[in-house]
Amino acid sequence: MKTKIIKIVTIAIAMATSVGAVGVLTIGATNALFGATQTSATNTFAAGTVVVAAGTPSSVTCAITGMVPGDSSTGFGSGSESLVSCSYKVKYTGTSGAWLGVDVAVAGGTPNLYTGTATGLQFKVSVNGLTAMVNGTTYKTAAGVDTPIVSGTPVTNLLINTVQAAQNDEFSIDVKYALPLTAANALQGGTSSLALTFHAIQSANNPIGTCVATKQCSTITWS
Amino acid sequence: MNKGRSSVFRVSVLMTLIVALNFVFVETSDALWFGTRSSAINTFSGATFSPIVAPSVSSTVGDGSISLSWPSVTLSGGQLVSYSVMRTPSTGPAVEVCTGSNAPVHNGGVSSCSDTTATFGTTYTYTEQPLTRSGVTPTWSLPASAASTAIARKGWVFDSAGTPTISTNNTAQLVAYPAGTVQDDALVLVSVSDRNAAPTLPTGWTQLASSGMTSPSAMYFFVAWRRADAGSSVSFRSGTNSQGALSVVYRYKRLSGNTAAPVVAHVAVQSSNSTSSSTFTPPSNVTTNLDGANALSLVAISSDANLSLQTSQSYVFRNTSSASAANTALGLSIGLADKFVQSSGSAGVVPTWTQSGAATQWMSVAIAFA
Repeated sequence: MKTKIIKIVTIAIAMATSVGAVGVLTIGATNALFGATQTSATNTFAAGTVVVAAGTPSSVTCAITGMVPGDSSTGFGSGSESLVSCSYKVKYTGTSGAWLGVDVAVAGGTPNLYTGTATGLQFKVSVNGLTAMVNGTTYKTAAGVDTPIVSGTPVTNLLINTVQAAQNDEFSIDVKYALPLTAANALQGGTSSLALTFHAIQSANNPIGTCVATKQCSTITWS
Repeated sequence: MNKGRSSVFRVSVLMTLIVALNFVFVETSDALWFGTRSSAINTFSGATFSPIVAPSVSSTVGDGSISLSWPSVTLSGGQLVSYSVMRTPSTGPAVEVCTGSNAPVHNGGVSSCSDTTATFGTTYTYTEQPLTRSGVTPTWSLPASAASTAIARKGWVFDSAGTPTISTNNTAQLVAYPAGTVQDDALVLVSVSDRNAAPTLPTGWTQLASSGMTSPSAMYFFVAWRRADAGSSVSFRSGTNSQGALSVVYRYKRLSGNTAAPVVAHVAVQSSNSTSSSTFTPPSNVTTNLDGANALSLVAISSDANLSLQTSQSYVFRNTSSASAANTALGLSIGLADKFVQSSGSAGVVPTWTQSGAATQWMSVAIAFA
């Protein structure tokens, strides 16, 4: 009988261990022996969050048609500056500090209005009106080298901030654009598109290294 | 008992290892928390022209310019389309026309302008090229249109007829030039008589036609021309007797910018006549030997009536003069119509004349000058 009891107790211990030792072992609970217990206050553990939501005011998605050379959006800095600029509004609603980055994806049809040269569609992408992270047809690598954006190949992890984002921080990713006067006749009827992906990653236990805002950052682990 | 304890221990160790491995797995594959949000796709498209082939230019000669028009081209973005209009002479380089204040205007789906600088006596073709501009800088464009039909500017245009003069004898009479005649205008003297007798060619004039007929009744038709002198009339002996003659001088004025002297532009004068009829279609028309010539259709009848074109064949009716204006007893009338002939060659189909009186005999002359 005693052997059987010991066996049962041993199995219980083993089970408790394998589950991760959650709670206090209750060895002897099945025995009617005298004892005393002392329960601690409850220790609580709440996970932080990393969440991105829509910002305010509403985003402006561009659907620009009938562009001709010399057309540009407001604030581009040259051209007509008569067309609406695009903006993507996001709010960081997570409770954990976070690094923020944006991916830029340019694509096009046939002909492609974006040629990746000075004579095709030009973009300026900036966050909250700061230095453009996409300027014309290039972005900057972590080393600060201007690098052409290739249509169909997204540019990832352009760092927005070097100070951890806090809950309810809002960001406006602004897209300005222009079709230069030198755009070739062959671009008549051409199409192009630009999509943005905003992403946040916990900053805790995720060192930023030497990354600089507006440039591509590969030091941070982004997912 | 030892056997049982050993078994329990092995289970415990195995499960502990599983848990430990589980921790390792989580830590390497899903280490950090993150969130993403993607924008809607922003789209951009370039404008297109419609139609995609530039329409050809239609050209029409006016008295002082060449009018050009073509169906308007539109841009899908609604922007204003500009045009580069080029004029190409039969020999030599093309030049741009319709610029500045003379730029094409757009109305009702048609764009138009006038070429006011074409040189007289030269044949041109025109093209237009739709384009967009940023300020004054051309940007996108379509290939230029096909060339228009060749066209020449008109150098002379009918202005007026002088006062008809009636003669009832063969003494010299003054036939007045039209009011406003200036030196080097082209003047055409036309006379019709009820007597089959040739007039006397006045000094300084070149005879173009002089012919008579006797049946069904006597009649004579005479045409001469000259570059206008400083005078105001021509002294003319019509060759008639008491039967009477009707004479008139027509003025073709030189259009602004035309510095050329008028010259004969027909290969041969075409003269004809007919017996009594209400209408008359001359049997043949002139052939011109210069671009941009005026072809004149002159007719006379032995009747006091109003002449007009029944079938114009692109001729423009200019004048009818009759004896009733001066002498109701005299039955004679003269008519003039003309047509601008773009390119040297046939003047086209002859017009058909008609008159307001009873059927009567006709005489006609067709000439051309440029």
